[in-house]
Amino acid sequence: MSQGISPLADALVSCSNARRDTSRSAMPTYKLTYFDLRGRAEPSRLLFAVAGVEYEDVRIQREQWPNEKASGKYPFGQMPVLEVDGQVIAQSIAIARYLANEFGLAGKTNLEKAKVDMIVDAIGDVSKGLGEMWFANDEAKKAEAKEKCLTKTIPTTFTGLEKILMTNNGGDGFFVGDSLTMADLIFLAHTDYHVDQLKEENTMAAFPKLTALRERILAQPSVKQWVEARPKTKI
Amino acid sequence: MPKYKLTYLVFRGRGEVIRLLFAAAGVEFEDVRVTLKDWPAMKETDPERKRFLFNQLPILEFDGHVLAQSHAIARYVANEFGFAGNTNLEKAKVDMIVSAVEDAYSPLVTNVWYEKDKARKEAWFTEFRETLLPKSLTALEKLLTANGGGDGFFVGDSVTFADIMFADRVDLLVFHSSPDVLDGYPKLKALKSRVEALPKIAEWIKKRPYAPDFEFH
Repeated sequence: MSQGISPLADALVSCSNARRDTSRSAMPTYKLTYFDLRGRAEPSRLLFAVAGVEYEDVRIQREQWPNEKASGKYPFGQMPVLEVDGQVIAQSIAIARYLANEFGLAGKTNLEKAKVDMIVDAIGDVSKGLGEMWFANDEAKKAEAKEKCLTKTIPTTFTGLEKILMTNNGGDGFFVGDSLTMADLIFLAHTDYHVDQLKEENTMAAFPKLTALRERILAQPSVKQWVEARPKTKI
Repeated sequence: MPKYKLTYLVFRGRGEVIRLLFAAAGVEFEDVRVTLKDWPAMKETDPERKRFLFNQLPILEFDGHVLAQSHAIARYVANEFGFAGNTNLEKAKVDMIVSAVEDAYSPLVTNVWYEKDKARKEAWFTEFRETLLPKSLTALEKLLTANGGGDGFFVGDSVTFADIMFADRVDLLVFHSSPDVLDGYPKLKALKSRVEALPKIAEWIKKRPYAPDFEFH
């Protein structure tokens, strides 16, 4: 980097380089481990993508999982886990919230963060309902779960979400505050699955602001880039 | 200090952890309790869903704001009053444990309250007692022990949302398995006593209304 202008200038340049090097090595190393699916890891992957932060995106194949699990490194015998500078964090939303807080994508005040959390948990209720439908072990239970989703869980929750969205700048921005947060990204990850599972029922049609929000999030350059680049998986 | 108004059902359920956090913080709040019988009519007073955002309880109202979703509310109170963990990493560990306790106890709600088929219920309970519960408690005991030997709290040096969530919800886990189930998890057992002995929490436990319907079948 030396310009040979003067020894002082050279010293200043190499000092500021050293500071940059220090801050680069102070940046944590992140390793996210999950199945080769979007699933419960996708909120975190979207957060890394939007923040522009590097991480190791480890994908465990189904056949490898029993051995992995037996290694004892998974606090609850489940994935995803995030390893950051030697610490292990489990539980997908805890991981996502950690990353969101680190990258300024969690909301700016405690109140905004609470609104983000509220939206995330509400979306979680719908995910849970869809999960009950997907994983039901007999046709009767499946039909019952689907009925509950379509008549109760989705209308109630999405009505609430549409209203909350509309209280924020008329609903033409993001869920909370003036910029993208974890709430929007988790909404995106959820609706990828939701829209696919309930294609015929077209449940999003009743919620124009939420539909537009989904498109708006997908159009964000960092999101678009990740969605195009990521491995294509069914769920 | 804003005036906080918590609205929930009469029993402990998903509201109690919030009440305990206010108590631990020494912060006054209006503790509104609704019976299951009165809840439908109460919902109808809010057709625009300005209060009951997701048609559910609990909600927390203060300074013209409304929050829904029990964990979001609890975490807000915890963050406001210093019970959430001190760094982002500590907060993540707190959240992780809260989620794990939720995972351990919430299937009880589905399978005690909502499951009508007796055979399915029995089968699930066997799995709960023999597999699911031991697995959860083993994992929690290990995490607690990893924090300086396990004779303090789950995260850091002081009581957090994680400890309070565990101490409150574990009663339901014990009730649906056996009274001495915690004997196999000595650090967790001691943690529960430690949390309940904290002066402001002990005071709340002593004075709170006794309302075990729904919770304990």
